[in-house]
Formats: sequence, C-alpha cells, structure tokens
Amino acid sequence: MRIKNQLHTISTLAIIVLIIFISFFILSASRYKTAKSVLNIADEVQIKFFVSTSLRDQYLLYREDRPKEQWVLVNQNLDNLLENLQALKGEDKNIKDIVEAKKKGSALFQRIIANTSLIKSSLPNKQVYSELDNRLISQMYIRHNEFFNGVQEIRSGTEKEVEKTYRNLITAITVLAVILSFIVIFSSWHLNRLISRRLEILHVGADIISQGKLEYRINIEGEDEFSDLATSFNSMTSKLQMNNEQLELERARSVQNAKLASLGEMSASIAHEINNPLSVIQLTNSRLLEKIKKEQLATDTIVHSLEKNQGAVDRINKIIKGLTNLSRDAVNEDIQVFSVENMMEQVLSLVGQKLNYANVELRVLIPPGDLFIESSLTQISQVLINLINNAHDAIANLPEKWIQVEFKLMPESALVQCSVTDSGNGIPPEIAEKIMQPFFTTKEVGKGTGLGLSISKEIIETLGGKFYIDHECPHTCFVFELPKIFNR
Amino acid sequence: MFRVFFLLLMGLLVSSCNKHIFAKAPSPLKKITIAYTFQPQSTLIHVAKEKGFFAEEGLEVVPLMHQYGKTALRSVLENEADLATVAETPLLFSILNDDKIFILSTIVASSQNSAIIARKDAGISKAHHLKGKKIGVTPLTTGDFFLDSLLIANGMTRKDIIPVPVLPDDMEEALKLKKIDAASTWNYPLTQIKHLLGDNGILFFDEDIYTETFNLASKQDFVTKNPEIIKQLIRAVVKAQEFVKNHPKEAQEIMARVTNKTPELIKEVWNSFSFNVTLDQTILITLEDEARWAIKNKLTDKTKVPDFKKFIYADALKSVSPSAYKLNRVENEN
Ligand SMILES: Nc1ncnc2c1ncn2[C@@H]1O[C@H](COP(=O)(O)OP(=O)(O)OP(=O)(O)O)[C@@H](O)[C@H]1O
Ligand SMILES: [Mg+2]
Repeated sequence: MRIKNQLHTISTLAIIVLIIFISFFILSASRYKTAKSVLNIADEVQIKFFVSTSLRDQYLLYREDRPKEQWVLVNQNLDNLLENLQALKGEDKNIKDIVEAKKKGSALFQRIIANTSLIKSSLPNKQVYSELDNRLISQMYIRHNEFFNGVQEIRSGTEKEVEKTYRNLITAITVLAVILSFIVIFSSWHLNRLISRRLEILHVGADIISQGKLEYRINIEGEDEFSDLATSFNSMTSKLQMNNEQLELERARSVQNAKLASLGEMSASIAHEINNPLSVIQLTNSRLLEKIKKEQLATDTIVHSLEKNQGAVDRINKIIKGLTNLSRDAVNEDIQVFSVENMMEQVLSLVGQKLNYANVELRVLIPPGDLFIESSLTQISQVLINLINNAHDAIANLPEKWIQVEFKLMPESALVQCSVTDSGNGIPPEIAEKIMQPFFTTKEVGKGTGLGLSISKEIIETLGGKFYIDHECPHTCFVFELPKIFNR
Repeated sequence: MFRVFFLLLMGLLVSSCNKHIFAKAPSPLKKITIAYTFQPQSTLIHVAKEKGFFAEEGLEVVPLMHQYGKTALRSVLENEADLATVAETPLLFSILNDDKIFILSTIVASSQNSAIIARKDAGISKAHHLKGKKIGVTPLTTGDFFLDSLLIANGMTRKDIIPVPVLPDDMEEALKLKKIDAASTWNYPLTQIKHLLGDNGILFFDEDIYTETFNLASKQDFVTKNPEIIKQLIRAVVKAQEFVKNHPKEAQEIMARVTNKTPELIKEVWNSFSFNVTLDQTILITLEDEARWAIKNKLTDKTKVPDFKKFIYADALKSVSPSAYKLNRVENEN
C-alpha cells in the first residue's frame, strides 16, 4: 500500500474513533447533566417535604388554620417539583411510585382536615371520628414514609448515576487518549519501520552507485512512493551511465588531441633548440669562409672553428636522438633498460635552454653510480618535461627560482621515486584536488591545455606507478614512484 | 494483535467456566419447613420455590400449607414449621401473648386487599346499612381490624353490628346460606365471592384506613440458632421479588398453577399488592395502631403498646439487601 494511503487509513481510523468517542462523550455528558438536575430537584423535594411535614405536624397538634394554609402552599411547590422530576425522568418507576405515594399522602391529609371538622362538631358519635383520625394519621404516616423512602432511593440511585456517568466521561476521555496515542505510536512505529526498511535499500543502492558501479539497478518491490523513487533513481543512473560512457569517449579523444598538441608544442621547442647550434654553425662557417678568402689562416684557428661546429653538430645530434625517443608512442615497444643520467641529459637538451633563459637554477640529484630502470624512457621523459615545464611556469615571476629533480631508490629497492620540486610555495589545498583533472588550467587561453598533469598521472599509472603531490614539502613538490622493472 | 485479543477471549472463557464450576459445587441443601398459604400474599414464597431460588441458596423448603396466615404462625409456635408467612395482625396478638417471635421481613403490602362484601338482598346498599347486620369475620385477623376501621370511617363502631366468627374459606358458604349478611375478608375469597354474588353483591372498602402487610416470621430461638438460613431465605425471597418485578406474567402463571385458581382471578387482584421485601415504618405503624385497637377493645389483657422494634430481626435483610432496610430513615424523626 502506498504510504499516502496508509496515512489516509490511519487518519480515517483516528477520525472514526474520535467520532465514536465524542458521541459516547456527548451521550454521557447529557446523562450526567440530567442525573445532576434530578439530584438537585430530589434535594429540593426533600427539603420542601421536611417543611411540609413540620407544618403537617403543627396542624395535627393544634388543628389551626395557619399551618394548614401554609401546608397547602408548600404542597403546591412540592407538586411542581415532582412535575419537573417527571418531565426529566417520567418513565422511572421510582418517580411514579413517589408521585403516587405523595398523592395518597396529600389526600389523607385533606381527609384528616375534613374529619377534624367532624371531631369538632357536636355529633353524638364524634368519639368515632377521633378514632378515625388516628387511623388516618397512621395511614398518612405510612404514605409519607413511602414517599420519603422513594425520594431517598431516587437520590441514592441518581447519586450513583451521577458517579457512573462521571466515571463514563473520565473513562471515555482516558480510553480515547489511550486509543489515539496507540494509533499515533503504532502508526509512527509502523511508518518508521517501513520507511527505514525501504529507505535502506535505496541508501545501499545509492552507495553502490556512488562507488562508480553505474550499471547497478535498485530493486524495490511493491508499489509505493519508494518504488517510484527507485524507478526515478534507476532511470537517473542509466542516463548517468550513458553520459559517463560518452564522456569517457570524449576524454579519450581529448587526450589523444592533447598528445598531438603537446607534440606540436614540443616540435616548436625542438626547432628552437636546433636553431641555436645551427646558427652557431652558420656563423662559424661564414666567419671561417670570410677569413679564408682574405688571409692565410693558422691551422689553430681552423681547428678551433671546426671544433666549435662539431660541438654544435653534436648538440643537434643529441636533440634528434631525444626526439626519436619521444616520438615512439606505444609503451610496450618502448620498454628498455636505460640510465637515469642519460635520460636526464636528453630531457635537459629539450628544456635546458628555456630554463637558462629564464634564469632558473636546475638541480639534478641522482644516487651515486647512476640508476638503471627498465621502463618506457620516452614516457617518463615526457612526464619529467611536463613537470619541469609546469615548475618553470609556476616560478617564472618569483625572486628565487630553482627546480630540483631528485631520483631515489626506495628501501625495498623495487621502487624508484622521483620528485620534482620547485621554489614555489606548494599547491593551495583547495585546487590540489582539481589540478590532476584533465583540462584544469590556471594559465591564459592558448598557453595551457590543462592536460599536462592528467596525462602524466595516466602515464605513471600505466607504468604501474603512483603519481601524487607531496603536501609535507614546504615547496611545491610532485612525486612519482615507479617499479624499477616494469612488469608487463 | 488478533492473537492477543484471542488469548484474552480464551482467558475470559476459561475463567467464566471456572466460576460456573465453583458455583455448581454440590453442598447439601438445608431442610426447612415454611408454613404458608395459597393467598396472593404468599406469591414470593411460591415463586421462590417454583423457580428454584431456595435451592439455589442452598435450602430445601418443605411446604406446610394453611388457609390463612394466623394458623401458619400457630404451626410455627407449635414447632411444626420453622417459618411462617403471616399478616401483622396475628403477629400482634402473638406478641401481646408474649410469644418469642421475630419478624424477619415484610414481603408484601396492600391497602386494597381487604373489603366488606355484602348481600344487597339483606338490604345493604350503603355503608351505614351495615348497622345491625350480621357480618362474618375471622377473629384476630386483618379482616377483623379492617372491619373495625371501615366502621369507624363510616361513623360506626363494633357495637353497631353483629360480628359472626367465620373461617376465611367458609365465608362464601355462609353468605350463600344467608348465615351472614356481609363478610369482612380478603383475596382470593373476596373476589371469588364478589363474582359469585354478582349483582346481588356490594363491596365496601377504603384505601385510606388500613395498610395490610404480610411478613416472614419465625421463633426467636430458631433465628438466633440459624442466622445463616435466615440470610439464605431472605436472599431467595429477594430473588423472587426481582423475578416478580421483571416477569409479572410468568409469576401470575405460577400462582395460577400452584393455587389452582383461574389466571383471570390472579390477574384481577395482582395490582392490589406491592411485592416488596422490606422492613419499613409500615409494619411498625400498623402494629401500633392495631395494638391500641386491641387494648381498647380488650382483645388482650395488656394495657401498654409494646416496643415492636424488639421483635424485628433485621440483620439478615440488612446484609442481603441493605437498601431494603428503611427503619433507620424515619421521616418524622428528620
Ligand atoms: N609546479 C607547480 N606549481 C604551481 N602550480 C602548478 C604546478 N604544476 C601545475 N600547477 C597548476 O596545475 C595546473 C594544471 O597543470 P597542467 O600541467 O595539468 O596544465 P597546464 O600546465 O596548465 O597546461 P599544459 O600542461 O597542458 O600546458 C596549472 O595550470 C597550474 O595552475
Ligand atoms: Mg603543464
């Protein structure tokens, strides 16, 4: 059942209970009211009756008119009260009885009054009438006793009724409160259980999906708000999955593009690198040529010039060699044993001049006796170039400019650690997370692609290593660790 | 939740079964002899017996049937019965006679049960025509006192008429044979005679002059020795009272059956009686009235009205039905 419907049922139930109890309450309340007024009237009847009996007894004592007349008045009051009582509870047997007894009692009193005139007369048998007087008085007492007892009975009955209806009222309220709180407690317990049970499935599902398993689908049985939610959740996840696949594809494409772009960038710097020795050769040659035309040259001078040219050619050779290494793309083809010293020489041939030009001091620390690695020379060179370039860019405007590249053999000897540290102040933590992401750059448009770090990280991880920022370091320090021997 | 409900229900069932079993636990019935009559005033005793209320309370009642209460009381005094149903008049004379008796409870009261039925052919059509006539009466019974009261109410005394002692069941015959001109009697004979005389009969009665009671009475000795039996007895009679109140039709059927009277007759007199098991002022006032009457008419050698409260045993009624005991609420003492 849907939670909405459950809530609906519960509130309907509560309303029904409320209605039943309120009707019971109203009924009890009206009974209570009636009983209360009966009790009040019965009290009044009792009081009036006492007054009437005392007037009655005064009359019986002196047979004078005054108490008789007053008795008539009080009796009238009493009759009115009894009428009220009958109006309230006419069907009550006890009330009928007391009305009857009262009527007989009053009739007897009237008869006594009538008989009194016979006693006071001068009839010869007035003795008999005084005897009758006694009998009538006794009978009147009997009726009045009946009346009095009846009133007492009504009083105590009504008192009980008042008590009972009052108790009913209290009970109604208590039971209502108990039932309502039961409904509230039960329903909240039930809903809580239901919700948390069903929510748990959603929660677990969301956790699994957030771990990257976008193919996971949440399965909630039944038909309620939660299964609806799960359905939307699932459709959201499948859209996400689709988007993700798309993104992955695009990223791969971008990475490829970026590789091409960085190749272009590199060719530019290569041209720049080659250009220098070339112009040295050109200059030396043309000077030599000029001098040869004008004058006889000493062998020394010629040798010196040729040596200078040879140096320039050597340099070009070196660059080209580095380039050949870089151009090889596939990792596996590239795996070879190489010396870290040699690799650094090649790297420096590509970035050295740029650093010199920017007045950056470069320190390279390699353990004594060199270090040999079996891995991809080209790829690692590219990572180093990336890192050195980044460092160069980062410290360009600092007063103190240095970059330190340090290689270390890790204690277990199976790992080589390389750190590239520059004189900068570290990466602010708020962007440290982001900088590894592809296309994140702080550089102006056209200058940086934002792919350098992400490509480097990918390369190191492909080579079975770790790539990270060392936040312990007071300066900016990028570190990678590689297996000394790449395990295919 | 259903299970809880079910368990509760089972529990209730089991416990009610238990109660039943305990209630039915056999205990020997105590045997008592009650002397009572076929008069309407004995209705509660008949009903209690017929409906098994005595047995329910652990009593086996042996009936000792009488024509009227006076002889029923006598059989108690003569140790033939343990208890009697009897009107207050025989009780009065028994008390004046210093018999050690207890009145246990009034079981019925009526101011319409007594009347004088007269033959018109004896020249009686008004009350004062009774003067000088032979009037049948059972001495020292309610009929005796009623006759006196009715005469007084009509300005006469006993000296104005000729009382003829007749047993209740002989009244009809006596009237038929014209041995008497009128009879002071009660039901059922009264209504039977009325029907018998038809147009020749005339009834004189006065609700204002006399309230008769019928009571349960026993010897003091028996009561003090068997207070438990008295309680059981009162309890059974109170049950009968409730039954009569709630099922008057069935009660009338029972009375028709046990008294061998027609249902019509039973029904005709039914409303003249209020079957209340009680102890109230009525019995005391009436006893005192009658005591004064008895003293005045020299029907006793006593000269003082006795304290009748001493002859009332209220413990049983008080414990069985406290509200039925009304002698502590005296209207004119308030
Ligand atoms: N050594 C460093 N010191 C300070 N910030 C750095 C350093 N290296 C990288 N960064 C920050 O990281 C960002 C990303 O570097 P990344 O190499 O991925 O891209 P890029 O250098 O901006 O562009 P590209 O390398 O493609 O030319 C840089 O824009 C820069 O803000
Ligand atoms: Mg970069």
